[in-house]
Amino acid sequence: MAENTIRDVFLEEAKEILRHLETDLIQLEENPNDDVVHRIFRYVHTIKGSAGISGFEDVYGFAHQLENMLDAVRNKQIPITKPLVDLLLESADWIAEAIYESPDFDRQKLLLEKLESYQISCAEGESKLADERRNTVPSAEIRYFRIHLSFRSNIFENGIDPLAIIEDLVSLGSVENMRVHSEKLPPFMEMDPEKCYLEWTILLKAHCPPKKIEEVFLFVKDDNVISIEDVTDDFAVFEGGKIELKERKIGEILVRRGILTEAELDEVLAIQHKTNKKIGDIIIEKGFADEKSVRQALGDQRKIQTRIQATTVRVETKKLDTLLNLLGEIVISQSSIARIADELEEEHGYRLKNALYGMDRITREFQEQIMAIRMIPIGPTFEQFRRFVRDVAVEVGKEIKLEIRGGETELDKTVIEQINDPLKHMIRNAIDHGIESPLERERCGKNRVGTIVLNAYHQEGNVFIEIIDDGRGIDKEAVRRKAIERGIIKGDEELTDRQLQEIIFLPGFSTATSVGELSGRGVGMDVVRTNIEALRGTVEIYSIPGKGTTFRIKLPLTLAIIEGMIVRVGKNVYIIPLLSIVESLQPKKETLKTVEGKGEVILVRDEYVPLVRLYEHFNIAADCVNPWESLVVVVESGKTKIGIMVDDLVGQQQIVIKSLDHFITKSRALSGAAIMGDGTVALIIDVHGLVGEIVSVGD
Amino acid sequence: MPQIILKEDISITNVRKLHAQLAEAIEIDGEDVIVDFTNVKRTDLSVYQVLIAFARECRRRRRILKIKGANPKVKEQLLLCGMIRPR
Repeated sequence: MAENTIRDVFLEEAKEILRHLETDLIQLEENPNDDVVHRIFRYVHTIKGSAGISGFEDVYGFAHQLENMLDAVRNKQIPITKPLVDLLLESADWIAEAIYESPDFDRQKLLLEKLESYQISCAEGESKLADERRNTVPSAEIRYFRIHLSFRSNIFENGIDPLAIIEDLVSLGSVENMRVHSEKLPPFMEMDPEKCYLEWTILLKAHCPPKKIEEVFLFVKDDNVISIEDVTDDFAVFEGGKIELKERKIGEILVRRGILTEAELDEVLAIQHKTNKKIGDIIIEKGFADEKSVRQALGDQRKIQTRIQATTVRVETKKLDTLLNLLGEIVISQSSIARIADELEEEHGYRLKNALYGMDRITREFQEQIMAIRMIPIGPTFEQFRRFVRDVAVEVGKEIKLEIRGGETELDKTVIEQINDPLKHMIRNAIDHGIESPLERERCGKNRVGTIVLNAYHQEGNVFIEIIDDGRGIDKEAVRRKAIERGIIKGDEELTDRQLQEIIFLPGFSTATSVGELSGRGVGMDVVRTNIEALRGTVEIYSIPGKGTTFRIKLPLTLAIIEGMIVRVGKNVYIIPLLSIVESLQPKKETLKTVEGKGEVILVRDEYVPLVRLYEHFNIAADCVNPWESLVVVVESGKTKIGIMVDDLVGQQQIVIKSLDHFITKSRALSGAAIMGDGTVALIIDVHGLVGEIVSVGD
Repeated sequence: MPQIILKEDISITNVRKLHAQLAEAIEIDGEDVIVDFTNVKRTDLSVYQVLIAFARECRRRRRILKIKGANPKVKEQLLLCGMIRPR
């Protein structure tokens, strides 16, 4: 495997491990038990091993020290305390920083000193026996190296003995397999005894990083052919390591282990091609390896195959996106064929359409399968907030417990990636403004420990995420006072629930009397809403004074495909997401009105709805300029409705969304584009954005 | 039976001499050749290379090279040079 590939795999894998590590460290503090300690040890151990292979030597060294400490924790030589968890969390942070940013060596030094002094202070309180036992606990990790050595023929002239080097090498571990290649050794009578002819392939099992192996060849590496390959992945299955395993053919395994040479493998394959005999038998017959080695390699191959079959495949999201895009192209092509079918004479057109229906079913199923692959559970995203809640609660002097429900709820990976920040904002608000101080809670007859619940569930084709706190609830009166101060409402006006929500999400709005480090600056909730709306979602607030607040986020299952209504305005085609459409109608002339400050409205089911002339909004030509001659599509965003005036409804279709770069439009009213069956491009209307551009908050 | 007793200091510095001695020994018809390592604590690769080539020559001539008096270190070196198999 190429070095870059190893590094990429590590970078991906480490993210997941660090997340689990953090979660378990929090759990260690809340509920210390042996299982958690073992898991934590394994995470650090895996990071150490993979970091070493991937060239993160600093991380390797640091993780090694951390592992030593955890080993002592595992052996009950160090008690589990809050300062210990703090130190471990700090160490985990440094590892993450060193992997994904750049290592801060000052901090590393400081942490290493802390780790050491912590261990020493714990050790001082222990008996001498326990101390000795700790010092003898092995902490090294087994690695396998395939080393090929080919020395220059006149190496003896420089006073170097290759055998001494090999002796040094094998002293680092144990030789699992060795081949001495004597093919270049001339017949006895013709040889020059002062020249070097032999070459080696050694499979070494060692407890050291690759660097240590390289050091053996420090003085000969430049003018000799020395190759060192870490082949631990071939053996991980036997050591229980977490290194990626590769399926290999038996010949390849034997070559990698130094039992067979490439030339011998070629010879064996040539014989197999002619005789159809089993490779293992040929190898034994030819005397290239003994039966035991071949049998062992075959056994190992089977174990690796079993392991691979039992595990999942890691696929880059980019590849899934490409797959989805290609599927989109198929859908477009299908639409093109459907158009051709319309133009054909009846019988052929009918047959073609029938075939297309069948194809359409398969395409939809295909699409569902791809979408299913993109779906991942929200649990890990929720879990990462454990640390956040813990740290922030300590900072503000509150006692808060985080409960996670519905972690198995799946949603599109892209949505999960983008929901992180809004969630963080809302949790931060709940900690800072929602949950009361322990004393205040006790005074109110509540448990001094506040609770924040992160809950996720599926409902009606959407995903709902709730952030529920059992704090003091939103102080409606304080919001009202602020709203009056800022001139949003008049002094004698009462706040409706909708107004309350709108005000909270206004840029710069805050009821906090003092600006804290966390919140209170009025920055955040407007960004939260904008981010959620960018995901085609909505956010609502439910609050009961003294009981708590719930933020409910509604999100689509996926961002990649929508069911859309295709509408036409002049020569332009637009797509309105079907989920946002309430109804479409042809208004009567008498239902139209112009209201001062609100512009044009139409009466729909006893309700005045603002009318948006799409041709005016986008500055394009339309066939109809009179609403009563055109069609109006009533759409809803949150609790706000608007009527979009269009020339015609073309049809309903599944749309694969293509993103629009910001330099094409700054309008919030457009969220993307789609390629239609005839090859034209249709713009997708962002209903939330359009409503935001049309309706002011005061309305 | 020809027997070559290696000196304690056998190494690259005097391997040519060993080569010559062995070349001479193999010419004695029908006899196996013994190489005695009793005095050798350790040696270098050049010596073992000569012995490997010599062993091949012996096989070619249907003769046997016998090694005696090898201490654990020498045995380890013989193993590393592929002259003996691990147990």
